[in-house]
Amino acid sequence: MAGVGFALRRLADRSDLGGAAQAYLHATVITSGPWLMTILALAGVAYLTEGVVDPSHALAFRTVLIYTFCITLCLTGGPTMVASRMMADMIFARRMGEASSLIVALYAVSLGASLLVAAPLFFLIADLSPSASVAAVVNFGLVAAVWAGATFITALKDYWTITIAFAVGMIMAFVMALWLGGMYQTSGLLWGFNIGLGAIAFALLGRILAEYPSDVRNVQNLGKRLRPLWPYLVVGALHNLGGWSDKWIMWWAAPEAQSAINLPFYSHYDGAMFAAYLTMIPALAAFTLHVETGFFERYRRFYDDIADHATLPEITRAHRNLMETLFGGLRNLVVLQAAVTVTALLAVPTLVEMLDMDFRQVGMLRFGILGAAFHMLIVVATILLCYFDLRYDNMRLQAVFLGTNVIGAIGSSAAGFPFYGYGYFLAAMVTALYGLWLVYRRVGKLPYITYVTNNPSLRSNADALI
Amino acid sequence: MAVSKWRLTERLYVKLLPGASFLDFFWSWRALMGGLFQMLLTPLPQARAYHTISTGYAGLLAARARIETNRPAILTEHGIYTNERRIEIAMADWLHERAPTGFSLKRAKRDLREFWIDAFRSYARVAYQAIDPIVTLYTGNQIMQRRDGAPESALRVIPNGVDYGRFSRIERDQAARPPQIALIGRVVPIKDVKTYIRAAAVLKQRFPDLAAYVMGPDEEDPVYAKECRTLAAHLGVSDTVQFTGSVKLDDYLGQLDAIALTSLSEAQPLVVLEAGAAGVPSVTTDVGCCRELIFGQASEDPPFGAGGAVTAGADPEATANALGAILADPARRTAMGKAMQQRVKASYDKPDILAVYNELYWNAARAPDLGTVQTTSDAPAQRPQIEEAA
Repeated sequence: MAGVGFALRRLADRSDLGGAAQAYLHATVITSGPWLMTILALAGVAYLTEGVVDPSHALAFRTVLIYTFCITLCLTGGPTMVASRMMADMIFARRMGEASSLIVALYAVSLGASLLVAAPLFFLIADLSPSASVAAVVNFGLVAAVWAGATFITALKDYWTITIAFAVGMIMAFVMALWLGGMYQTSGLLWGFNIGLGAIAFALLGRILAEYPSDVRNVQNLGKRLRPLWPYLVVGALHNLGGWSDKWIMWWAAPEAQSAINLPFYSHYDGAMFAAYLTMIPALAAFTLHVETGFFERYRRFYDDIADHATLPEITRAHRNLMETLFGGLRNLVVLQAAVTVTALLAVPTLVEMLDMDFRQVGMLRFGILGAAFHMLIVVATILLCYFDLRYDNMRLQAVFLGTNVIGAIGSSAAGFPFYGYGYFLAAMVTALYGLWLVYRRVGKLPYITYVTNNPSLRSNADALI
Repeated sequence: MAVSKWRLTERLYVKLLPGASFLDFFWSWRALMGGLFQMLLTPLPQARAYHTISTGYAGLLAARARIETNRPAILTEHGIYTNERRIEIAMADWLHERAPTGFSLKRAKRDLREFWIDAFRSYARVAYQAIDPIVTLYTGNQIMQRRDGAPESALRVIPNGVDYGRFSRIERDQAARPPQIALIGRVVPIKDVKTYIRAAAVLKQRFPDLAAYVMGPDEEDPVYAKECRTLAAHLGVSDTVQFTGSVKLDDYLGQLDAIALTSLSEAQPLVVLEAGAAGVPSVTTDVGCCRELIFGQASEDPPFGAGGAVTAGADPEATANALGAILADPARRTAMGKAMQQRVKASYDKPDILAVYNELYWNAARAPDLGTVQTTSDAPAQRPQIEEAA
């Protein structure tokens, strides 16, 4: 949904530096808001709680947070992907009357699934006090609600509310966590953090509900439209599983991994990877602002031409323009990412010092930064495959990411400490190249795909998309 | 593999319809070729003889049967299928037309309609070249069959028959009575009932006590039926022009002095034959085989004479004059009625026609296996303007 991209591009095109800076700020929040929130929350809590809260409580809090983030992302990944697609269809068909039903359905699924997983995890497995367990389950639900809300914000054009919601919510979360944490330890930290998180979750929900006609009915009717979209459920789930699989394997397989409240984790590895992910942000923001918007215009032109009874030379021209805009944009992204990656690699020692990281994280951070460069391309390829409704290709891409990342992480952990992160880097590289190859190959024969393989009238079986 | 087929589609578009909507070309190509391939692949039942009642896809299948099994195939088309498709395609609003741009006087490139029509002409040509005999109702249709590639040797005419025995038994009402005419048919625009009403208004000036019936259902096009009634009222002939609805023809034919047929299009109108069998002359427009019905086929020997008159279409004055001449001259009317009766008995009697069909089937079924189909590559199936465009 490139809607917000267009609004931001207008902002960026203002002839002053402030407009461009604002546009990038909002684009960052909108494309990477949830990620940023994860990373900032984990890093910020570690930094701010030092000396204020007992280290064991701070560790318990971080462990709850990291489990919450990774599990909710994997749980909601599929449903949010499907909901994005349905929302895009509704916007295209101008059927906004059904939007509220979809929003309610996504929240219900996300929260329901969260409760099913969070309750046994925090009550039965994790070693937490009853109050902290309840707080952890609430935390889980709120994070899931933020992911659900994030699904719809790219369709909104009101970037200010979103940016302010994330900023104010995070500040509230830190302040309240520190304040309550000082008094009630782990459960105080969690409840305090929940207040800020709740502010974000409800601000997003309020803004979304304000945008669409609030006429919830026939939620069950969505089910019918859902069936052919099942590959997106798999794509969303696999994408998040792929992104987290290396960390999980390292938690269990690396001898250096730790454990708190009865749950394993490896803070050095996780921290290095999260810091590395930050290097994707400039390219992803640029993608939303420039590449996706330009591409989307050509994309619409191509399909509009076909529907408007264009001649073959006209369609071929629109296709060529689409290819040129897309691959030109991708080239610019690669150049930007390369610049960020090289700079970050050279600055690793400074970064480690600046972010108060451990010197043992230097190697992992370097591989992470290299991997993130390719990870950015995986995200872009995933979005592009969604644009062309190549759901089976998308499933293959995510399966390759999951598979290679699992193998890579097992290999790295077996190869020993110097190779930690190397598996992720190789997995991201292989997957990104595969993704780009898929995009290039498929977009190259887009007219054929449009008329034949993705033509619903020609498909005897509704799922027979490439 | 799939992509190479796509390239083939693109090349065909460039060759066949450059400048047309590719979307429409794609669907047209798919529909036309899909039907063709289906006809080539569908299982063929084994039979002694095959019969198709049209060209198009049915004709393709019959042609395939003839070629594959070496058994005879018969084509009996009452209307010319390609021509019907041509009319339908010309009027189709689902075919997108690009508005012409610029002021060029050069002929526009070939459009989708021609593409569709050419496809059906090609299908017809395949059927015509493989099938023998090619039967139609009257010689006028053969002009189109020849043009679409039917060889002269295969062409045959078998008209539709009527029950001469039944209609010839209807007694003529010889008593003195006001003149009566009728248009027998549905009240729809193609029958041009309005011309008949206008002709009745003209005739009324000569025959004030004239009764002009419109015999046929009027539910099919209620708007047109209402317009006809309004016209009759407007012309002051509401009492002369009587809409009877559907009737049993036998009850009226004895009293009718003439039949009027003002249709814009017909093939072989049976009412002319049925009235003729009852000794009623007809005034028809020059459509379908009406001329043959009124004046006899060229092969009629000895000629029975005129069984009425043929006028131009949509010409109330001409229709009224021809009807007036028949109404005013009883001797002439009787002679025409007799000529029609003799013609129907000789050429259009149902038992005779059935016997001809019976013979056709038996000959085909009993025939020994046939040889390979000989095609004539010089058949004039290509229209000149297509060659220009190519």
